[in-house]
Amino acid sequence: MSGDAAASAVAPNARDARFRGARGRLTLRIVLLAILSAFGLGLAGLMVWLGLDRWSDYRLYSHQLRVEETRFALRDSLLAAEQAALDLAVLAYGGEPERDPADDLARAAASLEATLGSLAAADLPGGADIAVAVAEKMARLGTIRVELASTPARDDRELAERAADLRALALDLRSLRMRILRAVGVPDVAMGVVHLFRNYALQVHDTIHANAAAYLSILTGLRTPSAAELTLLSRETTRSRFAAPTFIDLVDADPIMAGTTASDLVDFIESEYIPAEEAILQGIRAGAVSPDTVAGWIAAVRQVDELTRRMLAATDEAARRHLGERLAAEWRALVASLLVSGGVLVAYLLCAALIVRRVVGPLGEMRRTMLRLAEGDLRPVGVLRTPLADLLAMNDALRVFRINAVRRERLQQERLELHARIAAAAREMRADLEAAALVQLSQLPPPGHLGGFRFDTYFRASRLLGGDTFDFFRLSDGRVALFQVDVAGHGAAASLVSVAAHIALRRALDALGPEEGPAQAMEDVNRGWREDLPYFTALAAVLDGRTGEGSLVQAGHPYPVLLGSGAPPARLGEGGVPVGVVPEPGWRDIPFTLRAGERLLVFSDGIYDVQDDTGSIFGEDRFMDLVGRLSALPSEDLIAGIEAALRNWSAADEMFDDISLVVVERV
Amino acid sequence: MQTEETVQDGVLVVGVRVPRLEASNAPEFRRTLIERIEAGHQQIVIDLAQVQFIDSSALGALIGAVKRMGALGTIALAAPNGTLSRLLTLTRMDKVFPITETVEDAVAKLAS
Amino acid sequence: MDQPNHPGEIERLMRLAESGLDVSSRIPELDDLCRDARDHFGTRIAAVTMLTRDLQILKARAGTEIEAVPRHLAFCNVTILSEKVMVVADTLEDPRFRDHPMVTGEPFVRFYAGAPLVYSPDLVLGAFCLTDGKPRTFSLGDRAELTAYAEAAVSILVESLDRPAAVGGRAP
Repeated sequence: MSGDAAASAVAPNARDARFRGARGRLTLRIVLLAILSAFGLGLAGLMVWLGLDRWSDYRLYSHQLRVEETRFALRDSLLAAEQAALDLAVLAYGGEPERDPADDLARAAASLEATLGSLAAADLPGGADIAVAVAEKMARLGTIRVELASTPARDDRELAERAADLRALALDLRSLRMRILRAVGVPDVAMGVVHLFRNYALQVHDTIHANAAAYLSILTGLRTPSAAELTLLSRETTRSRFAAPTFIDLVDADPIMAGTTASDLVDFIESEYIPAEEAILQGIRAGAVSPDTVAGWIAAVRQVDELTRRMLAATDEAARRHLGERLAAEWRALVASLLVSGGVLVAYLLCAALIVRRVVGPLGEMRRTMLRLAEGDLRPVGVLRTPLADLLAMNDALRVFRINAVRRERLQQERLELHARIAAAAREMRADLEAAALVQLSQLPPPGHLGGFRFDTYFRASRLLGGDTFDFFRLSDGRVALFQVDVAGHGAAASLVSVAAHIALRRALDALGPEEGPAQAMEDVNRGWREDLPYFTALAAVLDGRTGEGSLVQAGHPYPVLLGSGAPPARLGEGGVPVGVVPEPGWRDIPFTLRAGERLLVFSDGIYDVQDDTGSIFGEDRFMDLVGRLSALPSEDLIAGIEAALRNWSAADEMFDDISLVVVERV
Repeated sequence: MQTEETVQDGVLVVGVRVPRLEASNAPEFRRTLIERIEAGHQQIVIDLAQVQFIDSSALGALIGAVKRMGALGTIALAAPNGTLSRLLTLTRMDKVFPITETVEDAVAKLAS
Repeated sequence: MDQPNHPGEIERLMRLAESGLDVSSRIPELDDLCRDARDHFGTRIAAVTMLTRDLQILKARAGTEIEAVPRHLAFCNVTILSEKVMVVADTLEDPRFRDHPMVTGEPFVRFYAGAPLVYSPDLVLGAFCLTDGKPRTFSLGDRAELTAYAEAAVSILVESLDRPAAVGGRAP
């Protein structure tokens, strides 16, 4: 995707520059990518935060486990110290110690050392201060051990003092334990309950040991108690029983502590220990304590000790188990959260990739296609790889637009080709017409002298080809023949008809016998004229150069004009039906005479029909006037004058009709 | 091209209502006349009163109509003005059409 | 299917005869065009058909060797009635073609699209058509492109008129 984008980034930008407005650098692609990036970063942040949260919980429990080890060690040293104190007190009383107190002290010292070790690993807040305190207690314990080693075994007072020292040390250790507990706190309610049990057990243990120390010192006879002190002692003993029912309920309810021996301890205190201690108290008050009573009480104390230790061991086990379970659970949660985060991120990246590939990419491609089309590049529109219906519809529309553009281009091309072909055809046709016009013109005789007459001519076709034609030539009998033809209409068709008429008339005139006049020739032409050909008007004349006599026939053609010397122009003829209209036109020869210098004007009606810009025609009357005014001029000038007058009259330079004029002068 | 057609005494009177009959409208004029002939009109009067000018193409149209009519019927020209009259005289169209001064004369002539 | 007997058909056949187009001889460019269309649209068959009185002749084709079909069986009969592209997206869904023998039997046509070959306003020669064995959609872009193919086919046919080979085929 990125490679593709990079490769195409250059050309579209150059194109964009032309098509975008003054603003608008922001593209849909950039916006989408920005949104995707922002969202992705947010998601990643959230995942990291959740992971860190899990991690810190995991750290908390693993820390708790290490702190717990410190506590165990510290408590072990405490218990060992108290154990030793009790044994020393029993020894002072003269009883049998359960163990060698020196062993207990060694155990206490080892535990303290272990405390120091685990303290370093536990990383407690204020751990350094606690370590200093522990080291100090170790020193004190060392001192007590040295003193004890040098104490005589039978010196009761010395032994009792060592026991008291140990008890004081145990008390210090207890407060140290509380410091650790306060410094770290409990991670959850379950551990809070565990601590509650522990504290209860330690409290019971402590109380019983304190009472034992007090009673033993009295029994040993080291001091005599006051009545108040005895009451206080008895109250201490009974205090532990008040809390007992609550703890039993708790033990039964708490899932962690269930199955421990807490209830055994409570039951024992209630049923065995307290009566034993009360018996001692009564004995003291009575002033006589039997050794059996003392022995039973000491056994009860030892039993409480034992039960306390068991309970603590159970508590520890529960705590370890609970913390271990929680640690495992936190670990699982951490792993799960990492897996979920990873999954979510992978899913997100897949989605983003999908959007980029299937939306952003196709959009860019469509933009390129649009710009391409706009620039007139009509290569096929590619197929978009996107599931989006609207993009597909747009792309489809682009295909339609492209086809429209292709068709438009082809139509344009075809139109240009058609124009070229029309132009070529027109050129060809014009060339044909020009060739035909040349042929038509070549039929017209040049001006000149013929058989005693001078011929001057004027011919002008309204188009390239005209329907007018004329000819003059010498007949075999020496006479001169003249004709003029005007086929209705103009252009190629009329010109072809005029050629046919020309040939027919010339042939008919050539075929005239010496006594025959032009009407005979006209009749011949009319007879042979095909019904389906257009009619035409014509005038034919035959003149004798020797006498100046002639005759003419008028077939729908304008009246010819005779220009006599010194006389006004005169119309000749009597009208007549055009050729090709009726089978029996009834033409007849009209005789006339041209004296030397006299002229005959023969012309087609195109002269009359020239129109000015109001649409009125030049007309016969105006023409007769014109000819009258110009009658003194030689023929060439006369023709030039007529042409100039017609040109003046004409609205445009272009004459409406074909015009032809032949002037015959007798010389 | 504007024409006005009425039937009087069984005679179709075609009034030409344009001032000029020339190459530009002659073919249409010719078609109109031939349609009437083919529709069965055998007596047709062409009222030329309003026509100022007629050229050879228009004359051709009239001649064509007459040829089409042949011996079946008659086409008459009525009320040609001066210029037309002169042209009709020049070309001796009286040999081809009955030509009358007024439409009524023509109708009377054809109806009889 | 009944052969559409619309009023212009006789006239159309007359115009076809007058056009001088040879309805059956092969023109390589037309076959190329059919192949191109077949690849472009991805259909099984693309063909240029010309409708004579009795036959639909496949003047050019790609994807089939059928040369002619009886006129009354030709799908293109419907196409030439209009100047638009005719699409039958699924023949089985269309009551006009559901029972057509080429739908119910070989070649089991399920899809048809045809653009009329408009030669002149009064002469539709036949159609540029696509068929396939499975239904498919045919978008506006597809229709436009098919029309362009039909126009290209007509251009080739018109050009073929100028060739000497076609002169012999001219109608009297």
